[in-house]
Amino acid sequence: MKLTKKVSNYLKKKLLGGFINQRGNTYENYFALFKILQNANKYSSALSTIQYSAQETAFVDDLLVLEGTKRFLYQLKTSKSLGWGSGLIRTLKFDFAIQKKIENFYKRQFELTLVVSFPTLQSSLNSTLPKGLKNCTKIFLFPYHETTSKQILSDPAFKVELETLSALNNPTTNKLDALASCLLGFWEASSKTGVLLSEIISKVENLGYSFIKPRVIHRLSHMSKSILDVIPDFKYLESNGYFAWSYKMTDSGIIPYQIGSKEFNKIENDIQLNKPTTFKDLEILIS
Amino acid sequence: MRKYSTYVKNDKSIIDNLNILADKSTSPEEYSGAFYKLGEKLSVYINDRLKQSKNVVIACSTEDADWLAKGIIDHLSVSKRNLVVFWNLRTNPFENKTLTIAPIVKTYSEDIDNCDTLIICKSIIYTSCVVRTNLTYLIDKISPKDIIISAPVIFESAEKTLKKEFDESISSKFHFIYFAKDNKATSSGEVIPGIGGEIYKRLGLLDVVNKNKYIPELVKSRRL
Repeated sequence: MKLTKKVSNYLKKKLLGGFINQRGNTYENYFALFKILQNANKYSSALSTIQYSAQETAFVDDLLVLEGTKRFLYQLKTSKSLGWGSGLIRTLKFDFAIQKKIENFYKRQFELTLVVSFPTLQSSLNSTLPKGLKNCTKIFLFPYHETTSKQILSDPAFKVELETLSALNNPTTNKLDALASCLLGFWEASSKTGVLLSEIISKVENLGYSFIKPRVIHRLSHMSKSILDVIPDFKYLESNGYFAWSYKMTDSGIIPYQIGSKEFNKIENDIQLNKPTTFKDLEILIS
Repeated sequence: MRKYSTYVKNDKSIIDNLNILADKSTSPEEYSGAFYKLGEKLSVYINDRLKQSKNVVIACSTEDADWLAKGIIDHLSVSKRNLVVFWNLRTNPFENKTLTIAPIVKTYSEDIDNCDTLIICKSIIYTSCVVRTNLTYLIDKISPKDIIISAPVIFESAEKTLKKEFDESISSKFHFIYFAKDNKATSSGEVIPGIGGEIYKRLGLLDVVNKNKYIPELVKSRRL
């Protein structure tokens, strides 16, 4: 069917709108993930004091992170060109200024952050930051990438946080991607309102294939060790509660369940029951 | 709707074997046999791209090793052809269909140093998740001049989806060699007609967890 020019232009705009919405949504989720990672590493022994909410009823509203009693409010922008504006309604300056007023009115400890995806914007918005916002506002650069895998490969800060939270030494990209996707999967499925960091980490710990550093690290039993230690050309390593292994120069692997989990206990029982003496006998048990 | 690529060139045997894969009533023996024959057919066009290659690495997932990959590897024209096999755990965390991951839980890898052409083969490429995972792992370690991505069937958007995951410096090396392109998929992620469902089940390897217990004969025969 042939569409009129007007209808065709409308469709183009509608599709563009959909694309921009999707891009914004991905960016917000990836940034929330980044803050989850940062705080999981920073407050590993106080996870229940941190909580996350998206789309708060506020003027700076994309993400609210509560760290104890301090409120961190984030506004995210993926556009290429952006300015603070005059201060009238619907400008960034207005949104940030009124949010500051509200936070001060309630005598809250707070910090406002404008998160942008382009480096040039970070510097231009920093140099034009309105005077009245200087003591409470930061501009943060968080590059936008379409997929978690690309975010890992292209954003060193994001990658470092994942590596720190990973149970593995020198984890490969696929293990980091698994961890990122597990955290993101939980965040996306949650209510996104007052979600405790302790809850996020505890749910992701239950997924062995997340390869997250567990809070309680279990060890391989002495009996299993005594069987594994004498298998020719077989080496293994306990890495923060995960069992990684190699055989000769060709084979390597990791069991995607934490030592001490129900699934891993079954594998250990099988090893103890079958007492393999060669890699050929063992391989089927640890696959 | 299915579209055949230019590589098919009215070759009846290719179409017959693609139909064997699509037909859900074929036995595991006929099904695996069709993959081997399609691997052999793909190798004809892969060989055309290997004229300058001296050191080829062929990589696949465990469920593709004994049939599709063997069909290719048995008919490659270069003498140095090393093998990498991955055992992937394909899953969707918290059942989120937009987040598919396939972490590598086991690897069999022969020497991959100095590889000039990398061949990644896969029974079907739909979301590209497994191919992307395995390819990322390999290009962290090697810098081939040419990357051949080969499958009997791919989904309409697979090439674009996979290219999107890599920088231009890597994706510009991709050459896709496939026979059929499908554009329909069910809500559960099955390409129609595709390869007639989940390959593990069709091969008799039970499911996504139990298929990782399978040790391909190709690996057993090549182990030192």
